[in-house]
Amino acid sequence: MSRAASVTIIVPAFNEAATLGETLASIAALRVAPAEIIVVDDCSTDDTGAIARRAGATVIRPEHNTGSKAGAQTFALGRVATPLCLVLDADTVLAPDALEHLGAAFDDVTVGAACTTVIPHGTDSIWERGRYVEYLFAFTFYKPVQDTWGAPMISSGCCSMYRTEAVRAAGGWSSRTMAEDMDLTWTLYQQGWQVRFVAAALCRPREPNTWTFLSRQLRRWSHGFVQNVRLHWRGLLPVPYLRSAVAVAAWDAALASFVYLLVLPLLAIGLRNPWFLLGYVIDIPAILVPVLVGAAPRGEILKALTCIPAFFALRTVNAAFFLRALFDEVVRRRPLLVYEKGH
Amino acid sequence: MTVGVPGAGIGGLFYLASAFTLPVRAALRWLRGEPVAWRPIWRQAALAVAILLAIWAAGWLIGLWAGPQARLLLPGLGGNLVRSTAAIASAAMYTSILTLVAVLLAVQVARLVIRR
Repeated sequence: MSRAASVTIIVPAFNEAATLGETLASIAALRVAPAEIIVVDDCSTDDTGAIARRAGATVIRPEHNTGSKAGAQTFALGRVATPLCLVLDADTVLAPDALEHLGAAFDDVTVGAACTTVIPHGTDSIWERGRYVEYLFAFTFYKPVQDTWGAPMISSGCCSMYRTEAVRAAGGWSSRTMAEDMDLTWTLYQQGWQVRFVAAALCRPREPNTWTFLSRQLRRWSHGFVQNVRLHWRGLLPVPYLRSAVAVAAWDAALASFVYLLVLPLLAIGLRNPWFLLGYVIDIPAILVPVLVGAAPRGEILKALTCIPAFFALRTVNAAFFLRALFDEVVRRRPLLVYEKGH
Repeated sequence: MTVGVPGAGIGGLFYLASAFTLPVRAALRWLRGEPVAWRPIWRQAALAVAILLAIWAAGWLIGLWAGPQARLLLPGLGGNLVRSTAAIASAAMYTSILTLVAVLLAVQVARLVIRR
């Protein structure tokens, strides 16, 4: 069986008429075509279904809105007849060679999931520019190190390929947390599967370009992380490297956010020493090196440099959202239960 | 998906240490006869070296700039200010390293003590 014939692409879509056409065009431009493209029209009220049908995709529509991306993807899972499936957000485009790069990871029969390099589609707003730097940094430094140690922390939800039997054994994508991709990744590790990061495979999602979309997304991600740590921490203890990476990430997300938002300004004011404010940008060299190394092969060094200030703005917002999520989930015991669609 | 403050905190140290120890881990695997892909390992170690060099260079430049500025702005106090800022920076670095070690040790203890 050829690699192309072994992959079904699942695109969950709720009112995605504005972006779905471009996503499906990128699938049509893949160097190897998938066996089937399933678009889950999750009871959209716009032209999502019609656009998908015109592009030749199989369109399935649940009786009622499934309530989350996880629900829509799991709804499609029963229709998948290939050994591999790829989930792709309806606002994300694939590079033409992404499928073959990702598919190669599954030559190893122990691999249950593989994810791509992610670079934002546009850099028009401050939030997209910040995200551009954030992703260049993460996908040039953190993620390759995690992969070489054998434990990428997350197989990204915007585009990942899975062994279908592994996802079925996990019960599909669960909506018990707000980060279904992290939930499934950590479940797969606990079931003995390996997860790979394939740097050569590229996808480009549309990142939030407004405060409304950004705040929904960060709220979901922050709550999702706390929920997944609480749900999986015991199960992750036997997984080498990942257990340490998750512990460090949890510590940093909480404490670094606290220092960033409260301790640094208080020290600067209390001790009347403005040098403490250097703490906000003191890690510029550590950020800049991976970002420029990631931007250089794309010929985007100037673009990366101009986006750096936005990264610091986005990082401050990230910190605030995480502290709020931690407070809500752990102290107030008010978990986020409703999936608010952003990007 | 990123949460918290990407790049800051003990995470930066953790990934630098992870990158620096990759060649050692790979050498041990190679000695055991396991296949090793050296290229990404050296690439990540080289990136970690470049990051450390950049941090050192930035610290050196800040010292060059901050010393005269502080002496000019706060005559008499400038030297103390630079020394105290350097002490704070050193303390922050050692605190971060100790914190990272404590977190990693706590994980190992939890692994040994807690059963699923």
